[in-house]
Amino acid sequence: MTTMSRTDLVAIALILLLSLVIFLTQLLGKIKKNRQTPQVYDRIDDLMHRSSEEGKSLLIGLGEGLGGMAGGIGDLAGLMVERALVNRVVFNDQPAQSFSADGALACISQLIVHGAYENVLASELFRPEYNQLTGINSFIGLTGMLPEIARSENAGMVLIGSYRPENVIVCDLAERQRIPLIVASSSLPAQAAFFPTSAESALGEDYYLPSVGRQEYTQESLSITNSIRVIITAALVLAALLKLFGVLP
Amino acid sequence: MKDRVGIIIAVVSGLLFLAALFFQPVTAAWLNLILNWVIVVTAVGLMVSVARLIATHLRHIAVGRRGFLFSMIFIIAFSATLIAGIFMGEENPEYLRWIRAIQVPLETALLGLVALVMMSVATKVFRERGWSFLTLSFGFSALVFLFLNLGFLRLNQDPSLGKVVAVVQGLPMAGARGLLIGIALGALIMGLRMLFGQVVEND
Repeated sequence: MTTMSRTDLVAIALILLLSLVIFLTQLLGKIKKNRQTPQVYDRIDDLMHRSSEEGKSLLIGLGEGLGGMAGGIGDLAGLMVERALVNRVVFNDQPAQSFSADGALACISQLIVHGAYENVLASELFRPEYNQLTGINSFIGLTGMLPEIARSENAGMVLIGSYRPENVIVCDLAERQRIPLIVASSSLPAQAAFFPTSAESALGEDYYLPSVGRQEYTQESLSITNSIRVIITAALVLAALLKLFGVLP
Repeated sequence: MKDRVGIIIAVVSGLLFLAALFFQPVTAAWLNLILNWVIVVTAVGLMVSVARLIATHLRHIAVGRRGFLFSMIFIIAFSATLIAGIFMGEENPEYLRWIRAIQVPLETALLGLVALVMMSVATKVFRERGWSFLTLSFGFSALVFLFLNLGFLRLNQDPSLGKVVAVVQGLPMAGARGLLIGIALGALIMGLRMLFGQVVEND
């Protein structure tokens, strides 16, 4: 017989509630597109145009993936951005290059990059070096990425995924090389470390709202997050009142 | 349709795994089995990636790409480590001593560099981000906690001041919790939307 703890029950309730809100958001139709989307992802569009116009390469860092500090599915957000981004820069003079600090992540990323070339019937243009493993942990991944960003033929760099605060050294190098850098990390300490740099960085849950160009996904996620916030706040206030009146132990 | 099949398989496996996570210990044996599969697949993925990395560096050497000397150093270091590991055994104390003798000074030097870069970046915060409420509070709180944690002020010796210091020191935790609730919500929504196959609509 299974014995569920109170935490398990709360988790199940939260998942069911979230699923309900997600489906209701879908069912109720179009979301009003008036919410401000995180600026950090809007800048990726600028970098793509710069890459096309200047004929320079765009670098994409995907982080440590599931081998990172937290090891959650959110650490794979970089793959979504990579998919959207690579699809649009396939025919650029210089191809986009991805770097991963995790073997499994590098393999998935290669499938995505290869798929982007296949979708436009240009498989012959695909090269395995468009997608590289820079190391098998954070430090080695960091040192593997430094020589790539030091090259002069880069239009910009996008770091999205699980990154540690030590990666601030990449921001510093990008600044010295005058390469625009966009950073979105799932780790709070890393977000704090990237904040004072000149890189465009995501703060808080902005990281979990990735979008490139079309923003339906982000708008929907924002709408769902706001609805859940209201429900959680109401539940907290209700619980506090019940505790105050002695209903809850 | 080809895309849909993949998504359906991913969604069903994700939902089954999620359900199995909650219905332990009945599903514990299945969970262990699946986790073992994940470990095996991840290890194979790592091997494939390493093989591709070596092939890429060999290609750099073959075509004489700029910086190919670094590729040569990588290939030599990798081969030496691999061969020594195979013949001496990865648990061999002498082998581990060699690895540590190279790795520890390198990582320490890198950490020293990171500390310097962080200090330099922190001093540039107002130049890069301008004078806003966010940067001011960031700079002020950084200074406050730096002084408090250095231990020079010894404010804890005064009981009344000690209480104030304790409250102030608890503030980052309160702020972090607030942010973590938002992050957890974001991660949950992203995870569930991935599970429902909605992410593909992004582009």
